[in-house]
Amino acid sequence: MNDKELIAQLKKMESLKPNGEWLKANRQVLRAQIYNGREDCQELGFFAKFNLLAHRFSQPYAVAAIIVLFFAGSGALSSWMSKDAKPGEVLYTAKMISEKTKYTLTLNEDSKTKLNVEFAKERVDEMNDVLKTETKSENKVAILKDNFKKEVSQARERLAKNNPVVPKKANTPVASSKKPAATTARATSAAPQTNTNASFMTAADSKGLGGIDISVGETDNKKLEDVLKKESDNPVEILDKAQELFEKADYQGAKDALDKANELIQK
Amino acid sequence: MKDNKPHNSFFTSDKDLYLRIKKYKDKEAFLTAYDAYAEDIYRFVYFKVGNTEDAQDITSSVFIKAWQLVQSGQLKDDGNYKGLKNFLYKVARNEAIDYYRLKHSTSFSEADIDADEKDIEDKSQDVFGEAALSLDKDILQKNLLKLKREYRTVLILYYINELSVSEIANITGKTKGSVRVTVFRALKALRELMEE
Repeated sequence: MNDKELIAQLKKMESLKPNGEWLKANRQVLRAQIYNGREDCQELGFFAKFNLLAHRFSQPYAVAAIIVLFFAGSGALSSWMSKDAKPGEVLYTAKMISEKTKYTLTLNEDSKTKLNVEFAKERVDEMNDVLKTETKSENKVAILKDNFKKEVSQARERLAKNNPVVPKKANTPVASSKKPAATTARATSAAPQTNTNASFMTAADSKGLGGIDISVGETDNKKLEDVLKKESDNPVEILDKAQELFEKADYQGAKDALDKANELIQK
Repeated sequence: MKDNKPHNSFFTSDKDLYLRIKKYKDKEAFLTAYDAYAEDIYRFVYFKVGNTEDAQDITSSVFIKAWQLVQSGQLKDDGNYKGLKNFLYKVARNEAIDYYRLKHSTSFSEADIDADEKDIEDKSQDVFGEAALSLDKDILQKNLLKLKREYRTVLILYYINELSVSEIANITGKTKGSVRVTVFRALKALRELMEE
């Protein structure tokens, strides 16, 4: 017999137990003995219970849990409080940190793109607020423009990366917008339709927009909007349009474009 | 009657139990400790004395004695909540020594045996021969009971009751290194007995 077998046999000795009836009877005897002793049991009063609780919460795991809860709670609170903060305000930094945290904690690539678009919309809202309420706002406007571009650019890059067949950027937006987008992955995957012209005409007709002549007597913004409405299946190009509209100070138009881009990404 | 109110629903970890007994001399907590450790203490005592009746008597007196010591503030805080278990084993060990003294009118103690490296066979084993043989693991039990007490103690504590080396060192008053060596020698001695 080797040591291993011997140890295994020894461990089996654990099954040796006292008689259950004797164990119970002995408990009763012990109970009677200790309750008839010279000292009464000290009922745990409020302070005794408090002391035990304090002892428990002074343990390392409890302290760690409290710290984590504190940071999570304060993070959620500051995120909520800074929701409507504008550039230059103290809470705006908290808002930026909250957005970055949310972005970092999001793992899914599509969700990250959606977040970029959402944050770009936030920048548009902030721009509206700044222009409405402040006179000396050049610096803030510049920061917001810069941040908007960053968000849109990140969203565009991520879309191009995840879907390489999507055209990266249209250099001549109005002209190129008329090109059929039949080669895009989205059109291909969506698609019972292969004739893009037919598809956007149908979409435009359904909204009562058919027959718009974009070449005669319209402003640049109007043209962009029209193109936007027609190109309803290419989020990258719609993001480009959103940026152009934003640069031309058509913030509502930019926001609409971003909404549309978001809808397409969600599909 | 307020003393009958069970406290078991309020804090049930070993640490809480230890604190309640040590600081507040909580009787229900002590009964909970009995529920938790009575079987281990009984097994420890059984392998020391070798028969059921004496093991039951000694186990009973271990808990009564332990409660008396708790009331007189002798439950020592040795830095961790395992102090309660170690304390009960120490009381059990002393009670077993007292049992030997009374039963056999001898003057030895475990300390004396520890000092003596000769393999002294425990005479009390004759008392339990039949009972031991009636169990499934009769050969192992018989041989276990042939070991000198020091060896038997560490084997019971380490392999059967699964105490750590530190806990055994605390109970027996030896160093951890000494406990490890004793476990090794005890296992070797038991193996030799099994091979005979």
